[in-house]
Amino acid sequence: MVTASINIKEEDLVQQLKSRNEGAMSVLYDNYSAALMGVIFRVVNDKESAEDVLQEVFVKIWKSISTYDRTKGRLFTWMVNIARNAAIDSMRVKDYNLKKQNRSIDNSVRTINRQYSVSTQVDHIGLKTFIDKLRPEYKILIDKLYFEGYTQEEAAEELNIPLGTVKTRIRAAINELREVMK
Amino acid sequence: MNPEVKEYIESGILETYVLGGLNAAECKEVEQMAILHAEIRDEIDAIERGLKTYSSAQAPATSSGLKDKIMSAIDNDGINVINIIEDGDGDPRNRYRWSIAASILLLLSMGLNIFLYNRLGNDEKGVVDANIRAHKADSVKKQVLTAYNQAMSDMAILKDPMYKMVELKGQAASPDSKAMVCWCPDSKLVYFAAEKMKDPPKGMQYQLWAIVNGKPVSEGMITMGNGLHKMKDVGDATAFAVTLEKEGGSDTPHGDMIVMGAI
Repeated sequence: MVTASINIKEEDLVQQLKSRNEGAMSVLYDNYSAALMGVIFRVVNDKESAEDVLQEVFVKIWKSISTYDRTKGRLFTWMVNIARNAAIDSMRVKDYNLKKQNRSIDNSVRTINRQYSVSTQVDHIGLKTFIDKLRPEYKILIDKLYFEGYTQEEAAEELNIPLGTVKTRIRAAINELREVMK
Repeated sequence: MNPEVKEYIESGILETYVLGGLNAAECKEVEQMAILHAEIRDEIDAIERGLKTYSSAQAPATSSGLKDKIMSAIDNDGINVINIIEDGDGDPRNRYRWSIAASILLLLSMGLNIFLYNRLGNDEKGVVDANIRAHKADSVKKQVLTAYNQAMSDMAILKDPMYKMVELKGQAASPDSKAMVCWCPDSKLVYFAAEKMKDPPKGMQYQLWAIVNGKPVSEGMITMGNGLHKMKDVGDATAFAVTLEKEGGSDTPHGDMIVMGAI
């Protein structure tokens, strides 16, 4: 069976999560907490608040895993959306003391309040060298799409480059990212 | 590689897919292509790994205890124990899995006994303040829950086919010792379980090593206790070994080798 061989691990994990296995949640935490923390921290730029948001995100993942649909995208993508939205919501609450918006976590919905540009402050040296190896035009594109949740159209407009260039550049950018991290 | 697949990969659609920028129909198309072509599956995994590492590198180190805090924030109801225990696939590695599972269950039942015993004792005395009693029951319940969560998490690893179970056998310095490493080369995650190891002498600690390209690389210090303990990630190892080192560990192994196992 071809279908059975696709990423068994992630499928198995999702299945375990859907059957309310907390152990699977622990594995999920070990696998993804750092990546989600990175996304959150880039938005809130404060470790303590980021940890609060991370907790909120894992509780939300646990509670809404039944709504995750594999055919609509990767588990990782789904979780990054939750993390990014929660981080932005927390900023909104913090800055304006507004009632938290009930945000849909559907993969296709990525509404972002543009007031919250992600922090570009990099304070540890190891990371700086690593990021410095990325071309600035690649880094900014990845950051817009990944950390700020821009659509390609929005990124093209914001960065003032044609949409076609965004499409080709994103592959080159992530290729370079993969290369730099080897 | 099939030129059609190559072109598909190079179009950048997979990057957009992982970044969440495709609509439902496009997602479905990518899923279909991934089902048909292993190269596409591998590429998607590699893109995801790249983005994961990129954001992980920008995350500050989280406070110790954050995981426990988050795990206890997660609702405790609706846990399905049955689906954990249902499959036994004749894999010889299951012997280790089950021996660990059995000891975890024993631990759990001990915790529950303590809990029940405490409650009984207090009822008999009938003089204990209700608040203190509730508090005590609560703290025992918390301990049992923590042990339970640990057990559930261990089980998930033990039944995960992506993990290699590496048996570490007692060496000359301690022939009776036994331990196990669960290692997933894909995710690089490493867990250690001391199946049978004496407590280290005062001022000393056990240290786990991965043998990478013939050289020992520290996997971190071993805390004695039940269940699986997360060690440092390693992507490429040919063996694991434990040595007895001074407290806090060494850069290279100096002490006696206690257990070792090749992969």
